[in-house]
Amino acid sequence: MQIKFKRNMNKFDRGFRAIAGSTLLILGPVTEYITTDGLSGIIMGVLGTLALISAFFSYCILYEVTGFDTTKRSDES
Amino acid sequence: MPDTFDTTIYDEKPRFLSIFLVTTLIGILFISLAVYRASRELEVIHEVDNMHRLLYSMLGEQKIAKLIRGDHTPLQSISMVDYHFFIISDKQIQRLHSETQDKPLHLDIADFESTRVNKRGGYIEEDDGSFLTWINFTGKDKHNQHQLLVVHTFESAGVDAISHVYQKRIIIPAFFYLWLMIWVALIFNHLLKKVKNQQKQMRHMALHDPLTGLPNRNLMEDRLTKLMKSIRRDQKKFAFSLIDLDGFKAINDNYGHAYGDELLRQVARRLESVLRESDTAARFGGDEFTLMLDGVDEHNWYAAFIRVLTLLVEPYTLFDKTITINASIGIAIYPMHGEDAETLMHNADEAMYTIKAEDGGIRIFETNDSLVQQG
Repeated sequence: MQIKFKRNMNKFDRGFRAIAGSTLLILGPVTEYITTDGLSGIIMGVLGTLALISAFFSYCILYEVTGFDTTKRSDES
Repeated sequence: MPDTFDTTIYDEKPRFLSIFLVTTLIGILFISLAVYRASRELEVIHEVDNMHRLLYSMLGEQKIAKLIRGDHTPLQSISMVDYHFFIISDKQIQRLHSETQDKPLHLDIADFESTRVNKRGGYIEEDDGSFLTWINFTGKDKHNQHQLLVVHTFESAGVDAISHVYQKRIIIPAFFYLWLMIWVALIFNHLLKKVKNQQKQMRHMALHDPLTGLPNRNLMEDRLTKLMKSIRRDQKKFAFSLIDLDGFKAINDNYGHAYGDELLRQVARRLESVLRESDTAARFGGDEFTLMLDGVDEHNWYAAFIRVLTLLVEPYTLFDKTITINASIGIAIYPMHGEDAETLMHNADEAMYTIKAEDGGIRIFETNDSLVQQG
């Protein structure tokens, strides 16, 4: 059985999210470089993980509900 | 008849996003202010508790009991800079003499109970934003119900110290909140746009003919009524006409409805091509159209209708066939041929049927047209 994922993110978007997600995870909960506050660390960790997951699947649920689609823009250009 | 068909509420762009962002930012500002004030108050409460513990440990129970009785000698043995000692008895406040108490303080006994934060004391906010923290010690002697009041000017750690705490604890959740609010605003904006577009679509469908895209009879009647109201104020005239296509039924019967529909579409495009912004063309029903010409005199109207007729009788290319039709145009002038929509439409209809009986052309309504119809 083949599972197909709907995509709404272009390569640039994926790359940006991958870098931003990794940075948030490393500077937040992993090294506590930005803050040692527990709640702030959790928030940065959650946001970083979500950014990495969305980059991996090329799909952002917030894009879906707001009608954004960065793949369309790249197709047009 | 509803008179709000043309009210273009759906054309307004949703301003939800900007409103939402502004209110969110204002909300953050107020929350920050409240948090700052609460932080300062907590700082004061902490100071009150510290002050109580400090004085108790420095003076001891015996000296405090002496002070409560009004004996100020214990104060001479210690240096208490900026601490002011008072005795409260019979709702009167009285200063205890001390070397350090050279700074005048104007205190009202009523201030203290209203500014209490816990059983140990409270604080009074001065007009310049500074604080006076106060604590009280009550005598244990049943015969002596005096209270010792100690007042101290409190110096806050300041905005820098509090903002340092914010940086450490609140900045990232605040950014997260802003990020989330922006997404929520975008989602709501998107949904609002969708709803507005659907409203626009439904309104368009209710007021326009799906085949030709021209206004339908409802919208035409609405515009006619509005035009009459505005024209009546300015004491001007306008021409209302009914156009009937001669030979349309034969095209439908001979070539099929697809040809008939295509003919109606092409007629609509031709009518639109001769309209000015103030004019209205509408599909009245079947093969009948209406045209309202505003703001020109009778000669110009006639010339305009001749242009319309000339355009309508030119050959049409319908798919693989080229056909020609004739048209009958009946005109009624407001207010000469009717001062209400119903009469005006009726008289234009009469003129149109009169000229249709004469194999098409243009006719302005005359009073004997109705007699011709009856005859």
